[in-house]
Amino acid sequence: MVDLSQVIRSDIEASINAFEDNDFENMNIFANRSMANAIFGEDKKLILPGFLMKELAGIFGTLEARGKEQTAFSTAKTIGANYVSSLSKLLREKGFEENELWQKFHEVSLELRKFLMSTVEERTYKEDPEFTRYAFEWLVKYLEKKKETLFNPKNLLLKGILNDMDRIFRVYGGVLLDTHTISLVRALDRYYDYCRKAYSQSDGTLDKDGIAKTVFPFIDRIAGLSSSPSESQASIVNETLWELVKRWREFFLDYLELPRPRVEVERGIEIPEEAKRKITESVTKTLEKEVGVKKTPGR
Amino acid sequence: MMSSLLEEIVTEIKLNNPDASADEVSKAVLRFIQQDALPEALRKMRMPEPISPLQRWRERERLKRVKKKRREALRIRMQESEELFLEFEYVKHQLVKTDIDASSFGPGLLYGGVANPLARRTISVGTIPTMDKLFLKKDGISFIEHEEARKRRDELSKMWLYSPIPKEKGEEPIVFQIDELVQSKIWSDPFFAENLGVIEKVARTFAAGSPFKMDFLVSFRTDIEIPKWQKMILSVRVVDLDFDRIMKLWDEFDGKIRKEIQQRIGVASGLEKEKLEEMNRTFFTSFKLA
Repeated sequence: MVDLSQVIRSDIEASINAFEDNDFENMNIFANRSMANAIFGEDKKLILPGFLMKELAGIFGTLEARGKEQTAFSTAKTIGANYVSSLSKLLREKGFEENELWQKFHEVSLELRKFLMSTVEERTYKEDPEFTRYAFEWLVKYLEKKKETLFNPKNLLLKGILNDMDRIFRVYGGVLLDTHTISLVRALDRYYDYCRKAYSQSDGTLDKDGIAKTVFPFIDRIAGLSSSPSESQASIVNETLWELVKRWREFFLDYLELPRPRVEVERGIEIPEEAKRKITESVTKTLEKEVGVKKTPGR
Repeated sequence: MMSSLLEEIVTEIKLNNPDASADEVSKAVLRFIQQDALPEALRKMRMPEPISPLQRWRERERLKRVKKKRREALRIRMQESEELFLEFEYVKHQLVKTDIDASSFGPGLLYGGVANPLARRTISVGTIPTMDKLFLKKDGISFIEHEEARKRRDELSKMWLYSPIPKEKGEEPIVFQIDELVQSKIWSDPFFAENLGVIEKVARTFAAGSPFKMDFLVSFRTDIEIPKWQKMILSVRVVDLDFDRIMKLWDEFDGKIRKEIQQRIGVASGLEKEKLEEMNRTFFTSFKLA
Protein backbone atom coordinates (compact mmCIF):
# COMPACT_ATOMS: atom_id res chain seq x y z
CA MET A 1 0.00 0.00 0.00
CA VAL A 2 1.25 3.47 -0.88
CA ASP A 3 2.27 5.56 2.08
CA LEU A 4 1.21 9.00 0.86
CA SER A 5 2.30 10.70 4.06
CA GLN A 6 5.88 9.56 3.39
CA VAL A 7 5.68 11.04 -0.13
CA ILE A 8 4.43 14.34 1.29
CA ARG A 9 7.22 14.33 3.88
CA SER A 10 9.80 14.04 1.09
CA ASP A 11 8.21 16.92 -0.82
CA ILE A 12 8.20 19.08 2.28
CA GLU A 13 11.83 18.18 3.06
CA ALA A 14 12.73 19.23 -0.49
CA SER A 15 10.87 22.48 0.03
CA ILE A 16 12.70 23.03 3.33
CA ASN A 17 16.05 22.37 1.67
CA ALA A 18 15.22 24.94 -0.99
CA PHE A 19 14.32 27.38 1.80
CA GLU A 20 17.70 26.80 3.44
CA ASP A 21 19.37 27.52 0.11
CA ASN A 22 17.41 30.75 -0.29
CA ASP A 23 15.84 29.24 -3.37
CA PHE A 24 12.28 30.40 -2.79
CA GLU A 25 11.12 29.65 -6.28
CA ASN A 26 11.90 25.96 -5.86
CA MET A 27 10.58 26.07 -2.32
CA ASN A 28 7.26 27.11 -3.87
CA ILE A 29 7.50 24.44 -6.59
CA PHE A 30 8.11 21.65 -4.05
CA ALA A 31 5.24 22.94 -1.93
CA ASN A 32 2.98 22.78 -5.00
CA ARG A 33 4.24 19.28 -5.67
CA SER A 34 3.33 18.26 -2.16
CA MET A 35 -0.24 19.47 -2.67
CA ALA A 36 -0.40 17.79 -6.10
CA ASN A 37 0.62 14.49 -4.51
CA ALA A 38 -1.79 14.93 -1.60
CA ILE A 39 -4.83 14.90 -3.88
CA PHE A 40 -4.04 11.32 -4.95
CA GLY A 41 -5.39 10.22 -1.61
CA GLU A 42 -8.26 10.97 0.71
CA ASP A 43 -6.32 12.18 3.75
CA LYS A 44 -7.39 15.82 3.62
CA LYS A 45 -4.91 17.11 6.12
CA LEU A 46 -2.00 16.17 3.85
CA ILE A 47 -2.54 19.24 1.68
CA LEU A 48 -1.91 21.56 4.60
CA PRO A 49 1.93 21.38 4.94
CA GLY A 50 2.36 22.18 1.24
CA PHE A 51 -0.14 25.01 1.41
CA LEU A 52 1.66 26.59 4.39
CA MET A 53 5.12 26.14 2.85
CA LYS A 54 3.85 27.87 -0.29
CA GLU A 55 2.68 30.79 1.84
CA LEU A 56 6.08 31.00 3.50
CA ALA A 57 7.83 30.87 0.12
CA GLY A 58 5.67 33.85 -0.86
CA ILE A 59 6.75 35.81 2.21
CA PHE A 60 10.47 35.16 1.70
CA GLY A 61 10.18 35.70 -2.03
CA THR A 62 8.72 39.12 -1.26
CA LEU A 63 11.54 39.90 1.17
CA GLU A 64 14.10 38.85 -1.39
CA ALA A 65 12.46 40.83 -4.16
CA ARG A 66 12.45 43.90 -1.96
CA GLY A 67 16.22 43.71 -1.85
CA LYS A 68 17.95 42.17 1.10
CA GLU A 69 19.85 45.38 1.61
CA GLN A 70 16.69 46.96 2.84
CA THR A 71 15.30 44.16 4.92
CA ALA A 72 16.33 42.33 8.06
CA PHE A 73 16.63 39.21 5.97
CA SER A 74 18.86 37.13 8.27
CA THR A 75 16.70 37.73 11.34
CA ALA A 76 13.55 36.95 9.38
CA LYS A 77 15.13 33.81 8.01
CA THR A 78 16.11 32.67 11.49
CA ILE A 79 12.44 32.92 12.47
CA GLY A 80 11.42 31.04 9.32
CA ALA A 81 14.06 28.37 9.96
CA ASN A 82 12.58 27.65 13.37
CA TYR A 83 9.13 27.27 11.85
CA VAL A 84 10.17 24.92 9.05
CA SER A 85 12.15 22.83 11.50
CA SER A 86 9.09 22.45 13.75
CA LEU A 87 6.97 21.64 10.70
CA SER A 88 9.42 18.95 9.66
CA LYS A 89 9.38 17.53 13.18
CA LEU A 90 5.59 17.47 13.28
CA LEU A 91 5.43 15.65 9.97
CA ARG A 92 7.78 12.97 11.22
CA GLU A 93 5.37 12.23 14.04
CA LYS A 94 2.55 9.84 13.30
CA GLY A 95 -0.68 11.70 12.57
CA PHE A 96 -0.05 15.38 13.04
CA GLU A 97 -2.73 17.74 14.26
CA GLU A 98 -3.96 20.26 11.68
CA ASN A 99 -4.76 22.75 14.41
CA GLU A 100 -1.21 22.69 15.64
CA LEU A 101 0.08 23.40 12.14
CA TRP A 102 -2.32 26.30 11.75
CA GLN A 103 -1.47 27.72 15.15
CA LYS A 104 2.27 27.63 14.48
CA PHE A 105 1.78 29.13 11.04
CA HIS A 106 -0.35 31.90 12.51
CA GLU A 107 2.37 32.66 15.07
CA VAL A 108 5.16 32.77 12.49
CA SER A 109 3.01 34.98 10.24
CA LEU A 110 2.53 37.40 13.10
CA GLU A 111 6.28 37.57 13.64
CA LEU A 112 7.26 37.80 10.00
CA ARG A 113 4.73 40.50 9.17
CA LYS A 114 6.98 42.99 10.99
CA PHE A 115 9.79 42.22 8.59
CA LEU A 116 7.56 43.01 5.64
CA MET A 117 6.75 46.47 6.94
CA SER A 118 8.52 49.57 5.68
CA THR A 119 10.58 51.53 8.22
CA VAL A 120 7.88 54.18 8.43
CA GLU A 121 5.17 51.57 9.02
CA GLU A 122 7.28 49.88 11.69
CA ARG A 123 7.80 53.12 13.57
CA THR A 124 4.25 54.34 13.24
CA TYR A 125 1.73 51.55 13.54
CA LYS A 126 0.78 49.72 16.69
CA GLU A 127 -0.69 46.23 16.73
CA ASP A 128 -4.48 46.32 16.51
CA PRO A 129 -5.98 42.86 15.91
CA GLU A 130 -9.43 44.19 16.76
CA PHE A 131 -9.29 46.49 13.76
CA THR A 132 -8.05 43.64 11.55
CA ARG A 133 -11.00 41.48 12.57
CA TYR A 134 -13.41 44.31 11.85
CA ALA A 135 -11.80 45.11 8.48
CA PHE A 136 -11.64 41.44 7.41
CA GLU A 137 -15.31 41.02 8.20
CA TRP A 138 -16.09 44.10 6.16
CA LEU A 139 -14.03 42.82 3.23
CA VAL A 140 -15.60 39.37 3.32
CA LYS A 141 -19.08 40.92 3.37
CA TYR A 142 -18.05 43.14 0.46
CA LEU A 143 -16.89 40.09 -1.47
CA GLU A 144 -20.21 38.39 -0.79
CA LYS A 145 -22.16 41.48 -1.86
CA LYS A 146 -20.13 42.05 -5.00
CA LYS A 147 -19.59 38.44 -6.04
CA GLU A 148 -21.26 39.01 -9.41
CA THR A 149 -18.28 41.18 -10.31
CA LEU A 150 -16.56 37.83 -10.83
CA PHE A 151 -18.62 37.47 -14.03
CA ASN A 152 -16.69 40.37 -15.53
CA PRO A 153 -13.63 38.96 -17.36
CA LYS A 154 -11.62 42.04 -16.48
CA ASN A 155 -12.29 42.00 -12.75
CA LEU A 156 -9.58 41.69 -10.09
CA LEU A 157 -11.98 41.51 -7.15
CA LEU A 158 -10.30 38.66 -5.27
CA LYS A 159 -6.84 40.10 -5.81
CA GLY A 160 -8.07 43.48 -4.62
CA ILE A 161 -9.53 41.95 -1.46
CA LEU A 162 -6.31 40.00 -0.87
CA ASN A 163 -4.25 43.12 -1.39
CA ASP A 164 -6.13 44.90 1.39
CA MET A 165 -6.11 41.87 3.68
CA ASP A 166 -2.35 41.48 3.28
CA ARG A 167 -1.79 45.15 4.00
CA ILE A 168 -4.02 45.17 7.08
CA PHE A 169 -2.57 41.97 8.53
CA ARG A 170 0.97 43.19 7.87
CA VAL A 171 0.39 46.47 9.66
CA TYR A 172 -2.00 45.53 12.49
CA GLY A 173 -1.53 41.78 12.98
CA GLY A 174 -4.57 39.63 13.64
CA VAL A 175 -6.06 36.54 15.24
CA LEU A 176 -6.12 32.92 14.02
CA LEU A 177 -9.47 33.47 12.31
CA ASP A 178 -7.84 36.18 10.19
CA THR A 179 -5.06 33.80 9.15
CA HIS A 180 -7.75 31.24 8.24
CA THR A 181 -9.73 33.81 6.28
CA ILE A 182 -6.82 35.20 4.28
CA SER A 183 -5.62 31.67 3.50
CA LEU A 184 -9.03 30.65 2.17
CA VAL A 185 -9.36 33.79 0.05
CA ARG A 186 -5.90 33.15 -1.37
CA ALA A 187 -6.78 29.54 -2.23
CA LEU A 188 -10.04 30.74 -3.77
CA ASP A 189 -8.18 33.30 -5.87
CA ARG A 190 -5.85 30.61 -7.27
CA TYR A 191 -8.84 28.44 -8.06
CA TYR A 192 -10.81 31.31 -9.62
CA ASP A 193 -7.89 32.12 -11.96
CA TYR A 194 -8.44 28.71 -13.55
CA CYS A 195 -12.24 29.04 -13.47
CA ARG A 196 -11.82 32.20 -15.49
CA LYS A 197 -10.01 30.17 -18.14
CA ALA A 198 -12.34 27.18 -17.93
CA TYR A 199 -15.49 29.27 -18.25
CA SER A 200 -14.35 31.82 -20.81
CA GLN A 201 -16.50 31.85 -23.93
CA SER A 202 -15.59 32.51 -27.53
CA ASP A 203 -16.88 36.11 -27.35
CA GLY A 204 -14.55 36.87 -24.42
CA THR A 205 -17.26 36.80 -21.76
CA LEU A 206 -17.44 34.36 -18.87
CA ASP A 207 -20.08 31.68 -18.48
CA LYS A 208 -22.01 33.13 -15.55
CA ASP A 209 -23.67 29.89 -14.54
CA GLY A 210 -20.36 28.07 -14.50
CA ILE A 211 -18.74 30.71 -12.31
CA ALA A 212 -21.74 30.93 -10.00
CA LYS A 213 -21.90 27.16 -9.51
CA THR A 214 -18.20 26.61 -8.93
CA VAL A 215 -17.09 29.76 -7.11
CA PHE A 216 -20.05 31.22 -5.21
CA PRO A 217 -20.50 28.33 -2.75
CA PHE A 218 -16.95 28.94 -1.51
CA ILE A 219 -17.61 32.64 -1.03
CA ASP A 220 -20.68 31.75 1.02
CA ARG A 221 -18.62 29.41 3.17
CA ILE A 222 -15.91 32.02 3.78
CA ALA A 223 -18.55 34.61 4.59
CA GLY A 224 -20.22 32.28 7.06
CA LEU A 225 -17.01 31.30 8.82
CA SER A 226 -16.95 33.90 11.57
CA SER A 227 -20.56 33.29 12.55
CA SER A 228 -20.13 29.51 12.81
CA PRO A 229 -19.60 28.01 16.26
CA SER A 230 -15.94 28.38 17.17
CA GLU A 231 -15.49 24.62 17.70
CA SER A 232 -16.51 23.90 14.10
CA GLN A 233 -14.52 26.72 12.46
CA ALA A 234 -11.32 24.71 12.13
CA SER A 235 -13.05 21.82 10.36
CA ILE A 236 -14.84 24.21 7.99
CA VAL A 237 -11.48 25.79 7.13
CA ASN A 238 -9.74 22.45 6.55
CA GLU A 239 -12.61 21.04 4.52
CA THR A 240 -12.90 24.19 2.36
CA LEU A 241 -9.16 24.38 1.85
CA TRP A 242 -8.99 20.74 0.80
CA GLU A 243 -11.72 21.25 -1.82
CA LEU A 244 -10.19 24.45 -3.16
CA VAL A 245 -6.69 23.00 -3.40
CA LYS A 246 -7.93 19.74 -4.91
CA ARG A 247 -9.86 21.54 -7.62
CA TRP A 248 -6.97 23.93 -8.22
CA ARG A 249 -4.54 21.04 -8.72
CA GLU A 250 -7.05 19.29 -10.97
CA PHE A 251 -7.29 22.43 -13.07
CA PHE A 252 -3.52 22.37 -13.27
CA LEU A 253 -3.76 18.94 -14.84
CA ASP A 254 -6.23 20.32 -17.38
CA TYR A 255 -4.48 23.58 -18.24
CA LEU A 256 -0.97 23.44 -16.73
CA GLU A 257 0.58 26.72 -15.57
CA LEU A 258 -1.46 29.84 -16.29
CA PRO A 259 0.42 32.61 -18.06
CA ARG A 260 1.23 35.46 -15.70
CA PRO A 261 -1.01 38.45 -16.41
CA ARG A 262 0.73 41.19 -18.34
CA VAL A 263 -0.18 44.69 -17.35
CA GLU A 264 0.92 46.33 -20.55
CA VAL A 265 1.09 44.73 -23.92
CA GLU A 266 3.76 46.38 -26.00
CA ARG A 267 4.82 45.53 -29.49
CA GLY A 268 8.44 44.45 -29.49
CA ILE A 269 10.70 46.55 -31.68
CA GLU A 270 13.94 44.88 -32.55
CA ILE A 271 16.98 47.14 -32.39
CA PRO A 272 19.77 45.64 -34.52
CA GLU A 273 22.99 44.81 -32.68
CA GLU A 274 24.96 47.30 -34.75
CA ALA A 275 22.55 50.09 -33.84
CA LYS A 276 22.79 49.09 -30.18
CA ARG A 277 26.57 49.26 -30.35
CA LYS A 278 26.48 52.69 -31.98
CA ILE A 279 24.05 54.08 -29.41
CA THR A 280 26.07 52.75 -26.47
CA GLU A 281 29.34 54.02 -27.94
CA SER A 282 27.88 57.42 -28.59
CA VAL A 283 26.45 57.68 -25.06
CA THR A 284 29.79 56.59 -23.54
CA LYS A 285 31.75 59.16 -25.56
CA THR A 286 29.35 61.93 -24.59
CA LEU A 287 29.63 61.03 -20.91
CA GLU A 288 33.41 60.79 -21.00
CA LYS A 289 33.55 64.19 -22.67
CA GLU A 290 31.26 65.57 -19.99
CA VAL A 291 33.40 64.31 -17.14
CA GLY A 292 36.63 65.43 -18.76
CA VAL A 293 38.38 62.29 -19.99
CA LYS A 294 41.07 63.30 -22.44
CA LYS A 295 41.19 61.57 -25.83
CA THR A 296 43.75 58.81 -26.05
CA PRO A 297 45.43 57.83 -29.30
CA GLY A 298 43.82 54.97 -31.16
CA ARG A 299 40.47 55.45 -29.51
CA MET B 1 24.07 62.04 -30.39
CA MET B 2 24.79 63.62 -33.71
CA SER B 3 21.79 63.85 -36.00
CA SER B 4 23.46 61.89 -38.82
CA LEU B 5 24.20 59.00 -36.46
CA LEU B 6 20.67 59.11 -35.12
CA GLU B 7 19.27 59.03 -38.66
CA GLU B 8 21.54 56.11 -39.46
CA ILE B 9 20.31 54.18 -36.42
CA VAL B 10 16.64 54.92 -37.10
CA THR B 11 17.08 53.74 -40.70
CA GLU B 12 18.62 50.47 -39.46
CA ILE B 13 15.76 49.92 -37.03
CA LYS B 14 13.17 50.66 -39.72
CA LEU B 15 14.81 48.11 -41.99
CA ASN B 16 14.42 45.46 -39.31
CA ASN B 17 10.93 46.56 -38.32
CA PRO B 18 9.23 47.77 -41.52
CA ASP B 19 5.78 47.95 -39.90
CA ALA B 20 6.83 49.99 -36.89
CA SER B 21 5.53 53.52 -36.59
CA ALA B 22 7.84 56.48 -35.89
CA ASP B 23 6.46 56.65 -32.34
CA GLU B 24 7.18 52.98 -31.70
CA VAL B 25 10.74 53.32 -33.00
CA SER B 26 11.43 56.38 -30.90
CA LYS B 27 10.04 54.68 -27.77
CA ALA B 28 12.16 51.61 -28.39
CA VAL B 29 15.33 53.70 -28.82
CA LEU B 30 14.57 55.68 -25.69
CA ARG B 31 13.90 52.52 -23.70
CA PHE B 32 17.12 50.95 -24.91
CA ILE B 33 19.10 54.05 -23.94
CA GLN B 34 17.51 54.17 -20.49
CA GLN B 35 17.65 50.50 -19.65
CA ASP B 36 20.76 49.27 -21.42
CA ALA B 37 22.97 51.83 -23.12
CA LEU B 38 23.23 54.34 -20.28
CA PRO B 39 23.94 51.85 -17.48
CA GLU B 40 26.42 50.04 -19.72
CA ALA B 41 28.13 53.26 -20.71
CA LEU B 42 28.35 54.40 -17.09
CA ARG B 43 29.83 51.15 -15.96
CA LYS B 44 32.42 50.99 -18.69
CA MET B 45 33.39 54.63 -19.17
CA ARG B 46 36.88 55.70 -18.21
CA MET B 47 37.18 58.24 -15.46
CA PRO B 48 39.80 60.97 -15.15
CA GLU B 49 42.31 60.57 -12.34
CA PRO B 50 40.88 61.94 -9.08
CA ILE B 51 42.41 65.10 -7.72
CA SER B 52 44.66 64.30 -4.80
CA PRO B 53 44.83 66.59 -1.73
CA LEU B 54 48.33 67.64 -2.85
CA GLN B 55 47.11 68.57 -6.33
CA ARG B 56 44.26 70.52 -4.78
CA TRP B 57 46.66 72.42 -2.59
CA ARG B 58 48.90 73.22 -5.58
CA GLU B 59 45.90 74.32 -7.58
CA ARG B 60 44.78 76.62 -4.77
CA GLU B 61 48.27 78.13 -4.54
CA ARG B 62 48.35 78.64 -8.28
CA LEU B 63 44.97 80.34 -8.21
CA LYS B 64 46.28 82.92 -5.74
CA ARG B 65 48.45 84.30 -8.49
CA VAL B 66 45.54 84.70 -10.88
CA LYS B 67 43.36 87.84 -11.12
CA LYS B 68 40.37 87.82 -8.76
CA LYS B 69 37.64 87.63 -11.41
CA ARG B 70 39.33 84.82 -13.30
CA ARG B 71 40.25 83.10 -10.03
CA GLU B 72 36.58 82.88 -9.05
CA ALA B 73 35.62 81.50 -12.45
CA LEU B 74 38.38 78.89 -12.26
CA ARG B 75 37.44 77.95 -8.71
CA ILE B 76 33.81 77.39 -9.71
CA ARG B 77 34.87 75.31 -12.70
CA MET B 78 37.14 73.20 -10.54
CA GLN B 79 34.43 72.66 -7.96
CA GLU B 80 31.88 71.72 -10.61
CA SER B 81 34.27 69.28 -12.16
CA GLU B 82 34.98 67.62 -8.79
CA GLU B 83 31.28 67.41 -8.03
CA LEU B 84 30.55 65.87 -11.39
CA PHE B 85 33.37 63.38 -10.86
CA LEU B 86 31.85 62.32 -7.52
CA GLU B 87 28.39 62.02 -8.98
CA PHE B 88 29.66 59.76 -11.73
CA GLU B 89 31.64 57.70 -9.24
CA TYR B 90 28.56 57.38 -7.07
CA VAL B 91 26.34 56.28 -9.93
CA LYS B 92 28.99 53.83 -11.14
CA HIS B 93 29.31 52.50 -7.64
CA GLN B 94 25.52 52.06 -7.36
CA LEU B 95 25.44 50.19 -10.65
CA VAL B 96 28.24 47.83 -9.70
CA LYS B 97 26.68 47.29 -6.29
CA THR B 98 23.19 46.55 -7.55
CA ASP B 99 24.50 44.05 -10.07
CA ILE B 100 24.89 41.72 -7.16
CA ASP B 101 22.05 40.34 -5.17
CA ALA B 102 23.37 41.95 -2.08
CA SER B 103 22.57 39.53 0.63
CA SER B 104 23.66 36.17 1.63
CA PHE B 105 22.84 33.83 4.30
CA GLY B 106 25.89 31.97 5.42
CA PRO B 107 25.50 28.32 6.24
CA GLY B 108 26.69 29.12 9.76
CA LEU B 109 23.26 30.48 10.49
CA LEU B 110 21.27 27.42 9.71
CA TYR B 111 23.70 24.86 10.90
CA GLY B 112 24.45 26.55 14.14
CA GLY B 113 27.92 27.69 13.21
CA VAL B 114 29.13 24.17 12.44
CA ALA B 115 30.00 25.13 8.91
CA ASN B 116 32.68 27.70 8.21
CA PRO B 117 31.14 30.88 9.59
CA LEU B 118 32.91 32.98 7.03
CA ALA B 119 31.71 30.91 4.11
CA ARG B 120 29.68 32.91 1.68
CA ARG B 121 27.93 32.32 -1.51
CA THR B 122 26.42 34.49 -4.10
CA ILE B 123 22.73 33.81 -4.21
CA SER B 124 21.99 35.12 -7.62
CA VAL B 125 23.20 37.78 -9.92
CA GLY B 126 20.52 40.31 -10.63
CA THR B 127 20.13 42.43 -13.67
CA ILE B 128 21.07 46.03 -13.97
CA PRO B 129 18.36 48.10 -12.33
CA THR B 130 16.33 50.46 -14.42
CA MET B 131 17.84 53.89 -14.32
CA ASP B 132 14.65 55.57 -13.09
CA LYS B 133 15.54 54.94 -9.48
CA LEU B 134 18.96 56.38 -9.88
CA PHE B 135 18.46 59.58 -11.75
CA LEU B 136 15.92 59.56 -14.48
CA LYS B 137 13.37 62.30 -14.18
CA LYS B 138 10.14 62.65 -16.08
CA ASP B 139 11.46 65.52 -18.12
CA GLY B 140 14.77 63.94 -18.98
CA ILE B 141 18.05 62.92 -17.43
CA SER B 142 19.33 64.68 -14.38
CA PHE B 143 22.62 63.79 -12.79
CA ILE B 144 22.63 66.76 -10.49
CA GLU B 145 19.22 66.78 -8.87
CA HIS B 146 18.96 63.32 -7.42
CA GLU B 147 18.60 63.77 -3.69
CA GLU B 148 20.43 60.61 -2.68
CA ALA B 149 23.25 61.23 -5.10
CA ARG B 150 23.75 64.70 -3.67
CA LYS B 151 23.73 63.44 -0.07
CA ARG B 152 26.09 60.64 -0.92
CA ARG B 153 28.38 62.99 -2.78
CA ASP B 154 28.52 65.26 0.27
CA GLU B 155 29.28 62.33 2.54
CA LEU B 156 31.96 61.07 0.21
CA SER B 157 33.59 64.44 -0.11
CA LYS B 158 33.73 64.81 3.67
CA MET B 159 34.91 61.32 4.45
CA TRP B 160 37.14 60.12 1.70
CA LEU B 161 38.73 63.25 0.31
CA TYR B 162 37.68 62.43 -3.21
CA SER B 163 39.59 59.18 -3.25
CA PRO B 164 38.17 56.79 -5.81
CA ILE B 165 35.69 54.21 -4.67
CA PRO B 166 37.38 50.83 -4.35
CA LYS B 167 36.42 48.73 -7.31
CA GLU B 168 36.36 45.50 -5.32
CA LYS B 169 33.30 46.68 -3.37
CA GLY B 170 30.12 45.14 -4.68
CA GLU B 171 31.70 41.96 -5.89
CA GLU B 172 30.39 40.00 -2.94
CA PRO B 173 27.09 40.23 -1.10
CA ILE B 174 26.74 41.52 2.44
CA VAL B 175 26.98 38.75 5.00
CA PHE B 176 24.91 39.13 8.13
CA GLN B 177 25.43 36.15 10.40
CA ILE B 178 23.67 35.30 13.61
CA ASP B 179 25.33 32.97 16.08
CA GLU B 180 23.61 30.03 17.71
CA LEU B 181 22.81 31.68 21.04
CA VAL B 182 21.31 34.72 19.37
CA GLN B 183 19.25 32.41 17.14
CA SER B 184 17.79 30.76 20.23
CA LYS B 185 16.95 34.15 21.66
CA ILE B 186 15.20 35.09 18.40
CA TRP B 187 13.10 31.95 18.63
CA SER B 188 12.11 32.48 22.22
CA ASP B 189 11.65 36.25 22.32
CA PRO B 190 9.66 37.88 19.47
CA PHE B 191 10.30 41.35 20.91
CA PHE B 192 14.04 40.77 20.75
CA ALA B 193 13.69 39.34 17.21
CA GLU B 194 11.78 42.40 16.06
CA ASN B 195 14.38 44.80 17.40
CA LEU B 196 17.34 42.81 16.17
CA GLY B 197 15.60 43.07 12.82
CA VAL B 198 15.66 46.85 13.17
CA ILE B 199 19.41 46.74 13.86
CA GLU B 200 20.03 44.41 10.94
CA LYS B 201 18.11 46.68 8.60
CA VAL B 202 20.14 49.73 9.65
CA ALA B 203 23.39 47.73 9.32
CA ARG B 204 22.54 46.45 5.85
CA THR B 205 21.41 49.85 4.63
CA PHE B 206 24.61 51.39 5.98
CA ALA B 207 26.80 48.75 4.34
CA ALA B 208 24.93 49.10 1.06
CA GLY B 209 25.57 52.84 1.03
CA SER B 210 29.21 52.52 2.03
CA PRO B 211 31.96 52.26 -0.54
CA PHE B 212 33.60 49.51 1.52
CA LYS B 213 32.78 45.86 1.83
CA MET B 214 31.30 45.16 5.25
CA ASP B 215 30.23 41.88 6.86
CA PHE B 216 28.40 41.37 10.15
CA LEU B 217 28.18 38.84 12.92
CA VAL B 218 25.82 39.12 15.91
CA SER B 219 26.77 37.23 19.03
CA PHE B 220 26.33 37.25 22.77
CA ARG B 221 29.18 37.67 25.19
CA THR B 222 28.92 37.01 28.89
CA ASP B 223 30.88 38.89 31.52
CA ILE B 224 33.18 36.48 33.41
CA GLU B 225 32.67 38.37 36.66
CA ILE B 226 28.91 38.75 36.33
CA PRO B 227 27.63 35.83 34.25
CA LYS B 228 24.11 37.23 34.29
CA TRP B 229 25.27 40.28 32.39
CA GLN B 230 25.05 39.34 28.76
CA LYS B 231 26.15 41.72 26.04
CA MET B 232 25.05 41.57 22.45
CA ILE B 233 27.91 42.38 20.10
CA LEU B 234 27.52 43.30 16.47
CA SER B 235 30.96 42.66 15.00
CA VAL B 236 31.62 44.44 11.74
CA ARG B 237 34.38 43.28 9.45
CA VAL B 238 35.61 45.88 6.98
CA VAL B 239 37.91 45.08 4.13
CA ASP B 240 40.91 47.24 3.19
CA LEU B 241 40.54 50.25 5.38
CA ASP B 242 43.11 52.06 7.48
CA PHE B 243 42.75 52.68 11.21
CA ASP B 244 41.61 56.34 11.00
CA ARG B 245 38.92 55.57 8.51
CA ILE B 246 37.74 52.58 10.51
CA MET B 247 37.32 54.83 13.53
CA LYS B 248 35.34 57.35 11.51
CA LEU B 249 33.18 54.65 10.00
CA TRP B 250 32.61 53.04 13.40
CA ASP B 251 31.43 56.33 14.90
CA GLU B 252 29.04 56.92 12.07
CA PHE B 253 27.71 53.37 12.09
CA ASP B 254 27.22 53.21 15.85
CA GLY B 255 25.52 56.62 15.76
CA LYS B 256 23.05 55.44 13.10
CA ILE B 257 22.04 52.36 15.08
CA ARG B 258 21.76 54.22 18.39
CA LYS B 259 19.67 56.90 16.72
CA GLU B 260 17.24 54.30 15.41
CA ILE B 261 16.96 52.60 18.83
CA GLN B 262 16.54 55.97 20.56
CA GLN B 263 13.75 56.87 18.16
CA ARG B 264 11.97 53.69 19.11
CA ILE B 265 12.54 54.29 22.80
CA GLY B 266 11.04 57.75 22.27
CA VAL B 267 7.72 56.41 21.02
CA ALA B 268 7.57 53.32 23.26
CA SER B 269 6.03 53.15 26.71
CA GLY B 270 5.87 50.87 29.74
CA LEU B 271 7.55 47.49 29.58
CA GLU B 272 8.40 47.89 25.89
CA LYS B 273 10.34 51.06 26.66
CA GLU B 274 12.22 49.38 29.52
CA LYS B 275 13.14 46.43 27.33
CA LEU B 276 14.40 48.72 24.56
CA GLU B 277 16.48 50.73 27.04
CA GLU B 278 17.96 47.52 28.40
CA MET B 279 18.73 46.37 24.87
CA ASN B 280 20.44 49.67 24.12
CA ARG B 281 22.55 49.38 27.31
CA THR B 282 23.73 45.86 26.59
CA PHE B 283 24.29 46.25 22.87
CA PHE B 284 27.71 47.08 21.45
CA THR B 285 29.26 47.41 18.05
CA SER B 286 32.78 46.32 17.30
CA PHE B 287 34.80 47.02 14.16
CA LYS B 288 37.48 44.71 12.88
CA LEU B 289 39.86 45.01 9.99
CA ALA B 290 39.83 42.09 7.61
